[in-house]
Amino acid sequence: MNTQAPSMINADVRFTRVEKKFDTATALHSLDLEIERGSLFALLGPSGCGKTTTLRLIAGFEQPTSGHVYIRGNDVTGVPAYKRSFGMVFQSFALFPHLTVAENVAFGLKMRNVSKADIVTKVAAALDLVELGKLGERYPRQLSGGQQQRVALARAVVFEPDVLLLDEPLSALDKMLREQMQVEIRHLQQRLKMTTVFVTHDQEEALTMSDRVAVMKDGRIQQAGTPREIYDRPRTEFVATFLGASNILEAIVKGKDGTGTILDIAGNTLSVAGVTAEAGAKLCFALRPEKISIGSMDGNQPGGIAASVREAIYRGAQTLLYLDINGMPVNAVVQNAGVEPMNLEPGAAVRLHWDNDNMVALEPAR
Amino acid sequence: MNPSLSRNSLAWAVALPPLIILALFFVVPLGYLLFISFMTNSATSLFDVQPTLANYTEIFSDSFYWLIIQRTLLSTAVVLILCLLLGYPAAFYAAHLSPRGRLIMLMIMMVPLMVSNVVRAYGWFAILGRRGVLSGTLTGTGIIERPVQYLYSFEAVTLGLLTILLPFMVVSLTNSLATIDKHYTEAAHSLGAGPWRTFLRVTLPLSSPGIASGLMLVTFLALSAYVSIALLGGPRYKLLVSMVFDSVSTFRWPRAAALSFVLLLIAFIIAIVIQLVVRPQRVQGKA
Repeated sequence: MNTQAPSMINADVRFTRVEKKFDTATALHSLDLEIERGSLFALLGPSGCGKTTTLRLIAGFEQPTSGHVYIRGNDVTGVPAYKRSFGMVFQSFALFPHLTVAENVAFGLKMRNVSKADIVTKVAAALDLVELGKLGERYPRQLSGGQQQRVALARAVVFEPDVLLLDEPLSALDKMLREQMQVEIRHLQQRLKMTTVFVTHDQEEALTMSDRVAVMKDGRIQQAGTPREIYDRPRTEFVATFLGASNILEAIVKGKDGTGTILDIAGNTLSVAGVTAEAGAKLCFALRPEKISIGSMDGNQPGGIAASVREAIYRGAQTLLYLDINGMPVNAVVQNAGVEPMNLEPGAAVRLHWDNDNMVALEPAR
Repeated sequence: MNPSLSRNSLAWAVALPPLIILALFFVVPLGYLLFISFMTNSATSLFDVQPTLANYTEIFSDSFYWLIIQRTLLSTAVVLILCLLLGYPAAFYAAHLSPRGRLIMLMIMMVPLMVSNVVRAYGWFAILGRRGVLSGTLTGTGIIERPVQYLYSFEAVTLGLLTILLPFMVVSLTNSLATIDKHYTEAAHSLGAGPWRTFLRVTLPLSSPGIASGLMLVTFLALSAYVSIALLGGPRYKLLVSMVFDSVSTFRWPRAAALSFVLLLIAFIIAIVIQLVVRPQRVQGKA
């Protein structure tokens, strides 16, 4: 056991300065990570960002080049996968084709020398949990993709592991099924209160399902937090644009006034609180398209920033607007609430309004 | 025109030439051979057109032929078991090499097959004969007193067959093992199975198509091998294939035909046993 000070009391998974190199390429740079007991934690990022490597390090399929991995407070660095306590759902499900559904689910129990009678009751309970009670005697090839997914889940949780690992488990399913399984996995995880780590490249999936999200890029965690924190307060341009759409506004600091910092954005002057920067410095702000509201030039809303419409795309519930503020492109999404339609033809002049609190100052790119 | 129909007819057009060749040069002669096997032996022509079961009843009522059948089954079984036991570890190793390393290893294993069977058999003469390397070494070191003839025995035939057939087994197993998705073994590890139990319960069953095809290939090649058996078994250790040749060389064509069908029957039975024991179909058409 190591003397690392635990900063989170109920961390089921903890990485301390974990580094992983493959030959000459570094997959992870000195990663620190803590995953709270009973939570669903998403590792989100584009391919090659290190999220799968992180998951495989928890499993023990890979060993760190340096640093330590803890599961339930025990240092498992160097411990092979089969001596760790985790269940895993693979992207391909990896159900054993020569075993029936019930035999697949029983596999982990058998390896743990559970008595025959207990195996029968536990397998039945696990299959009931995923609503496949009647399909125990079938072979995996006789099941649909969604059913195979459920068998893989039942097999991974039946022996009550310390951690459940999900490696892009929904990417093999079609969209309808994926959305249904997102909810089902979430419910199952909450019912079992099982610490779960989930790898995905789908930002919507991460937002919908998890308690906490870590956004990764190039072997580093860019930002970790609750879905709301990550979405509303992105720290970097990468996080802002990878999770949903975001405008990146470039601003030049003009000075200070009583309430905050005075900025110049494409010729418009704004005052933003909570930002400290020298006059003349360049800053970038993230602003979500849906935070922008549109007023017409002659409307009764005074103020706002003048812009012109480049293109308006009708999307049923919303209209997506490509706008132009003195040559700076900005996107906005407006709800089609059913009031009299505004003139949003290309070239139309409009006024943009937003709460300056929704402008999030970004750290310079790492 | 219906597109699926045209695709169908194209498939037939491609499949037809080999089917015709197969029918013309295999099925028809085989039928003729079967016909001959029920005819009477003749001293003057290929056979006399007098239907008889004698060719078969004589084989099965003669204890000598039973001995030959027994030997054939025994040597085939031993070759199969040794090929599997020796070939599996080699294939396991090869399957975990890089694709390039695997190719090189399999190529090296194939090199002995480039040598003619006759040349190879005479190579064994130099090793196993009374004045051969083995006998000479053993007498020289005093382990045996007088030179021993190791040729013309069960061991010589088995060794000869083994060295020819092992590469076929390794190639078949390697191809099967190399295509097993690593997620299966990782899934077994995640469920708490160590390397040994993962091998027995997951890798081994998943490689069953390779085991079955390798065993069948070796069986058919072992049963039909002639040169190695004739040279290494000599006059003292004959197998069924030698009896076919002996019958032909004494112009008893119907008897030779009947023996051929006994051989075919044995191959067929062994193939069925392999399928029933190894059960490759349980992982084919997989999820």
